[in-house]
Amino acid sequence: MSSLPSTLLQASQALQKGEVGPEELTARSLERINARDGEVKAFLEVFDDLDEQIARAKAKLAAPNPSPLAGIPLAIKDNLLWEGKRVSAASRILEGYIAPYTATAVARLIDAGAIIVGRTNMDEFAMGSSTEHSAYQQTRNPHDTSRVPGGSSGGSAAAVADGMVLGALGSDTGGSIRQPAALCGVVGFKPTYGAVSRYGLIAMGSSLDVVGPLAPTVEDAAVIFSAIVGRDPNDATSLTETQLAPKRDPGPVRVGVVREVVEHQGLHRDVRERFDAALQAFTDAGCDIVEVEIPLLREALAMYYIIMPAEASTNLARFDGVRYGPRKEGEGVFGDITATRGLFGAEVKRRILLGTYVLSSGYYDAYYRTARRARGALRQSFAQAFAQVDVIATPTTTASAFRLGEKTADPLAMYLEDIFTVPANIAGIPALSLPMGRDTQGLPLGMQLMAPFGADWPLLATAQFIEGVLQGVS
Amino acid sequence: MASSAFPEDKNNATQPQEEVRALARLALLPLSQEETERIAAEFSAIVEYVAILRSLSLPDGKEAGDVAGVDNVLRDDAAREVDPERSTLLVKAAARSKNGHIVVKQVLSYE
Repeated sequence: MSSLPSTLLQASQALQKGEVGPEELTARSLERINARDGEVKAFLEVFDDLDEQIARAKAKLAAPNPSPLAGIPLAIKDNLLWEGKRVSAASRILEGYIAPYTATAVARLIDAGAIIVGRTNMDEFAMGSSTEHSAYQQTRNPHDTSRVPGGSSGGSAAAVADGMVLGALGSDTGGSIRQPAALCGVVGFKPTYGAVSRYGLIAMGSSLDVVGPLAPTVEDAAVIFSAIVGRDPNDATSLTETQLAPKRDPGPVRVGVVREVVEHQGLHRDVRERFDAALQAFTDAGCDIVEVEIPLLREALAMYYIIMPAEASTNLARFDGVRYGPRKEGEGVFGDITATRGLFGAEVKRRILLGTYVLSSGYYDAYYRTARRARGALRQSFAQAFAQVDVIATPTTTASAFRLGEKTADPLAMYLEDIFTVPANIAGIPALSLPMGRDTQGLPLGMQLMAPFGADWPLLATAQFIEGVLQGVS
Repeated sequence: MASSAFPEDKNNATQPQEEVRALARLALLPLSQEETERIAAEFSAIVEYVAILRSLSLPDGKEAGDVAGVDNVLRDDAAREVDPERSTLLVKAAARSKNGHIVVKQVLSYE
């Protein structure tokens, strides 16, 4: 049997012309998973209702004006709920938990007729940049299985990169879609905060979390985004379509570059060279390169590691063995709760304790309140920069995929993985990572593009243009 | 909790561990001695890193807890009708339940 088409849109066109059926595409997806996932370990579960999903996709394809997602094999990250199916956030504390309702983003994919083949591995509760913090298995980078796929949506990125599915949903709190997309050589899109409903997403940092797509190309990511975007009465922070900037055609734009990012001392020489070559290609393609200053950009990671743990420790307080998952026996009701919370992994414990610390009496003003004030100032810095440019370009990561175990003993080194991606979450703006060629070891690198709040469609159009320019450079 | 922060406590080997134990009690997290020692050591570096914010001179301005363009929306403080099927599913998701209720150990003691 042949492999899946290389892009989602190619598969969609073949489906809509009747050249291939959903059952054949699903069979190809499963064959690839069977052949490769023993080594890559992208999936925590392949669902057992695929025949039912195929029948639904066929009905959608037979109806007038089917969605381009009808019959397309996709995957979802293990922190998105689907009623009646297991969901664990890759944590022992949710082992055996069955979702009692369906996440809005997942419901919209189902309604479009997509075939969701399974749930993908992730860092526990989306806390990590390597997918090494899953309680269940270690996902490996399909380009070099001795290396990490990035994280926390590492399973989704690896599944797309290895051709097991044609797209996947991830979630991004500080870079968890873009960083693994970069390290696996696919496109990852973090929409504007609120553009996609968070209903049914297991929360980490509620003011930072966003659901978004990973896909082979920018157009493919845009197809998935168009299915999941939009207001949801179940998420009070979700935006209406009119709060987003209108679509536009791909074309040259003003590209902002931040000197302190380019001159970052931790930036690998290969990344710098690829980035410089890309900027030259942008100029040749008619873009203006403009140097912009973003005060407080350097401090965004420090803001993040105050705000995120504060919100995460609050959100994870609900995991007490009473309402979800297993319960461990202790002495009295609080003994039960404490024993049950021992099921959290090391990274989750670390962040809960950090959040408890920055929110505790005596430190609240010094850390949490200061971080919130700094967050407001950084948001203003971005707004001022976007008065001069349409997008801001950075490398997505400082280097290509690192080896398994290389950073697990040093949490701060792991946290620094997100140094370029975190600012977009702090500001709530849309950001996308797309492939930027390979380093001298042959490993994928990513370029990040950030755009103003609500400019998701213009960002996708720009990224599509830039994707074409970068293909000429690679 | 003591008024000192981790970075200044480097010369005192036991105080960071005591602080980690205090945080763990607040967060209802069980920690082994090994975990306590490891997290106390890691915390110093992490807290020192995030403490760079404390030295910033930030412009006077409102805190940004919410993302631009998003308003806080509160529902009425009133009980809502819940779909009985949903209610059954939610109770079923609990570790222990009986007659449509979640079972926990006694919370208040009479002693």
